[in-house]
Amino acid sequence: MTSTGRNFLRCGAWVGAAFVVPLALVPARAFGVDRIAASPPSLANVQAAVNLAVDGDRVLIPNGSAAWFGGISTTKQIRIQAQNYTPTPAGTTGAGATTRNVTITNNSSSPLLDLTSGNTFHVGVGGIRFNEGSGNGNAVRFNGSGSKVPLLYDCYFQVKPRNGNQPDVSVVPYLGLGGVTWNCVFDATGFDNGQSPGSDGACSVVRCPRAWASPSTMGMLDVTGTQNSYFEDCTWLHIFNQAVDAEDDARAVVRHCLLRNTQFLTHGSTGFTGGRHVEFYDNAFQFRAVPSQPLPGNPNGDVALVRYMWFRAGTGLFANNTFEDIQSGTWGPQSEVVLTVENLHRGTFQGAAPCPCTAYPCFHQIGQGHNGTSQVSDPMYFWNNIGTMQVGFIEGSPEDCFGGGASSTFAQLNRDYFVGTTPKPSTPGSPGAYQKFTYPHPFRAVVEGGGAPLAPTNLRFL
Amino acid sequence: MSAAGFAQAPWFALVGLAWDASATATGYNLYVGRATNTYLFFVDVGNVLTTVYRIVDKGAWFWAVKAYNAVGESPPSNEVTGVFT
Repeated sequence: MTSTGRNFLRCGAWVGAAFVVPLALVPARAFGVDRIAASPPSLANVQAAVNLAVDGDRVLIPNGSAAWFGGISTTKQIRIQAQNYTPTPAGTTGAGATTRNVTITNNSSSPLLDLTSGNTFHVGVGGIRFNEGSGNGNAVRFNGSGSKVPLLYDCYFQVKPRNGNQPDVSVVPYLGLGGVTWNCVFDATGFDNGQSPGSDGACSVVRCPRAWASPSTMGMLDVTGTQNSYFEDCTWLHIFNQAVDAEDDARAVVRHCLLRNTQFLTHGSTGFTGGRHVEFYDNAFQFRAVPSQPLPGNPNGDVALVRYMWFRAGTGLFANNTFEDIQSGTWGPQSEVVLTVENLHRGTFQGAAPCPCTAYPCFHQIGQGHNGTSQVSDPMYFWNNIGTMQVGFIEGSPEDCFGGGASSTFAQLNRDYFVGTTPKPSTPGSPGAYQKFTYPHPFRAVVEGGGAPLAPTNLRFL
Repeated sequence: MSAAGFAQAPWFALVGLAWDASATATGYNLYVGRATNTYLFFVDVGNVLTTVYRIVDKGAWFWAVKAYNAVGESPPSNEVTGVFT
């Protein structure tokens, strides 16, 4: 608990208010009201409800379907959700039980819902199914650096191949501070052909306005739950390349999720800074055949999954996950987790470091973190995972540098990464061992209720 | 009575406080103390995000806010303090 001290002026003992402060005549609202959109859930009807809303309100969308050829962009701190949405109980991995009575088909080249976080009320989207249509615009896009981080819950996203520049063609880009996504499904079923949906644009992109060059917020170091982007109780289906790209400065946590035929990655030094840290725990990684494309003699089918996770920058951990072995048809057996020291063969964006890197450690390389002053060793840890989880290496491609060394030389076992049963013992700048962040994320109570409220914040003098 | 024969009006001060909402709160309790993290009592200020507190004694004062709903009360907010002389 912090104290904000103030010495008040000496007050005379004569009549009246010796110390008077300016006050708002009408107290600020602690809660908003519900703005129910007209039916059907057309863009115009939802936009009209958003126009009426003020900070703290919820815009509720009645049951129905509509195709949108444009989107809604607002900086109002509001949540937009299905009117008849019922929260999925916590711990229901996959969120398949949730009925989504509102369907929006994406025929838009701009984001369908573009929200910006603030410091007073959480922005969010819940209980809506987003179908792919003719558009490549984002389904939901989050911006902002407010402490009331975005909430995305119980939504269903179809994911088709989206070619173009991310984040503009991503289904859900997280471009602001933090956020909590739970009970959401990202599904490329019906769009995949065993190849590579999202070949140019990740299904989701995570960035963070908090600088790479600042201390870790892994686990309980994220004391407010606002610094990392959390995905929990979510499902990704057949999103080979790639479900989530933890891009520049990203701090992501994936937990209690189901990931089938799905790849994640951190972006490397070919971005501005690369990902900062990613945590995976208590997830199920599945490799399954694509029934529509069985291959003779290959019971697993021809699935273009070449890894579950590709680390290219920063640090991370895998704990208590279950892994199914990747035995891809055409591509053969694969390492489940792949490591690359990207700066050995790829140039850093805007020349942040020489190309190739010749001395350990490389710029923002895997197994590195930051203590607030300088880049420091912060090894990756893989512990108590069940099933087949092989760690392998690939080199960055295409070649930018020529003459660079091998990633396995610069990222060494028991120095830069540890595999076994030993939990992550420490983090630079932290006195103790790693601890998983509170599950479920406390901000879920904003939607689901069920507990005492979180502490108010930012108590101050007027 | 003062020497001039007029009543000495009691000293008091009004302190305006504001805080950011806790999303599932249905109201807020303002905790008041004379030492840090040691609160003497609380005032239920209702479901608002600002309030005015009237003090009648000089010296150091400490305030924190807790949110509440039907389930219970939150941990305290950050504390603010003021010294009145």
